[in-house]
Amino acid sequence: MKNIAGKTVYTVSEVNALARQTLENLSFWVEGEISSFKGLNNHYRYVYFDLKDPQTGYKLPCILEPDIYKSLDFELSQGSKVLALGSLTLWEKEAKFQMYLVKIEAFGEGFLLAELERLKRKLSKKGYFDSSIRRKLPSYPTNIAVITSTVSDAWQDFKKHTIDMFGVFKVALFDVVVQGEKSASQIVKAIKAADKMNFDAIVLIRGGGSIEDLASFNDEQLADAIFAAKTCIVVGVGHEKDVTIAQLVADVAASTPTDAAKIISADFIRLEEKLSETLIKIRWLINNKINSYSQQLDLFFQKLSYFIKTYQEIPKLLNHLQKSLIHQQRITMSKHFQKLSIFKTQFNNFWNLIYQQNLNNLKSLKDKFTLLSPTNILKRGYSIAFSQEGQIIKDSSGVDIGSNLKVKLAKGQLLSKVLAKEL
Amino acid sequence: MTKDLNFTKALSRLEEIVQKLESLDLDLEESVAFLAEGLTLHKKCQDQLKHAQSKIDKLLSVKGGDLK
Repeated sequence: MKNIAGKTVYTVSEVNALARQTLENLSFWVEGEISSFKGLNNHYRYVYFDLKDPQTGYKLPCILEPDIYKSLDFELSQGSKVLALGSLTLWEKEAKFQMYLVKIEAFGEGFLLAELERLKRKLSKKGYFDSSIRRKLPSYPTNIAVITSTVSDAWQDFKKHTIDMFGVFKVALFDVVVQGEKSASQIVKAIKAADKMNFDAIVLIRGGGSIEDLASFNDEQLADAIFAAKTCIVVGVGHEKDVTIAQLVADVAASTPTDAAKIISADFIRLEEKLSETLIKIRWLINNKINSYSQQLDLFFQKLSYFIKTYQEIPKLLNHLQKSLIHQQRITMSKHFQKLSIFKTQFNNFWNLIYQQNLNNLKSLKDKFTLLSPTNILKRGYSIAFSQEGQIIKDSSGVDIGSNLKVKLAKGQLLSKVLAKEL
Repeated sequence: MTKDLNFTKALSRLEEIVQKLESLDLDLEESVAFLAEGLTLHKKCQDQLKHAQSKIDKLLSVKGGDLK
């Protein structure tokens, strides 16, 4: 720097140096696309590329330390959308303006996350995340406002686990855009409207998405609306890893739309489980009773069968009895016959004996008789006198003198006349 | 008589009949009459049990329809 004719004059080098110093005081987060990317090259001190504004095509030349390049947790390549933090600088020799980068993050996310963190801190200070002031979900909620896109999977998932399962739910559907510029304001409007309608709960649901997709659920005005609402608000957004501000402020945070549905229907699920347990118990008790009756019946039947069998055997028994009776009778008869036969023999013997004895007696009597017979007496010289009338004369007094008498002798007889009589 | 009885009464009548048959002081005609009654009661009770069982199975197979 010198003074020439009252003017302060700089050399080119001095200007470039001054420009560099000035530029180096300016540092920014810059959003852009990687362009003219040449990659890491051992012959170069830095990694060179341009950041391009995709809307205008304007370019900002950048240089990056190879160490930073190597430590990136994503792949930097042509066309990558990034957020880059750096300060401007100047290559003095060519007066070429560059940005010296110290940090690069994948597109949008870093910025949005930083925004999100900032908002979270702010809302946290306002007490929006304070769990002690959250409204409780009423028991057995049935009158439900659902704020979502009616064409979304989120709605289908929610429906499947609530009204498709239990008929008790009365759901009023508030159809909103869940992504893009108009999304947050539509949701806020729907919440405010639903809050005036005395629902048991307001359910705000949406499927998963990138942090950009979920931007409206990280909206400050939405957070205000949720916080201000009098109705219990259940928010279920995205897949489980996404946690939005809407969920943080919500009275009940659900990890997904399905989770939100399960929270809403939890009381009914428990009730149904209890009912089903009761049914199982009832079934068990009744089956027990029926089994016990069945066994009792079986026992009775077994006993009845025993009697049936007994009666079935009666004819057989009778037959058997008949046979043994006949048999017995035969034996008895044969004994009698035997006895009879013995009796007969004995009788015969006796008879013969008696007969013989009598015969002998008779004979002896006959002999005696023969000895005593008149003939035998006559033979000894006696004679018998008969009257004319044939009467044996034993007394002479009855006989008339002169009457004829017949005198019988042992041999022959005499006709004689009574001459006298002697007394 | 047997027709008008409900299940429990039929069952206790059946039990009574079995006891009578077991008491052995019945003549043949009485026994046969009791046996016939007993078999009729047994069939009746068994039918009623089967009917009850299938009715219960049918009723309890409806799952969680109560809240719908």
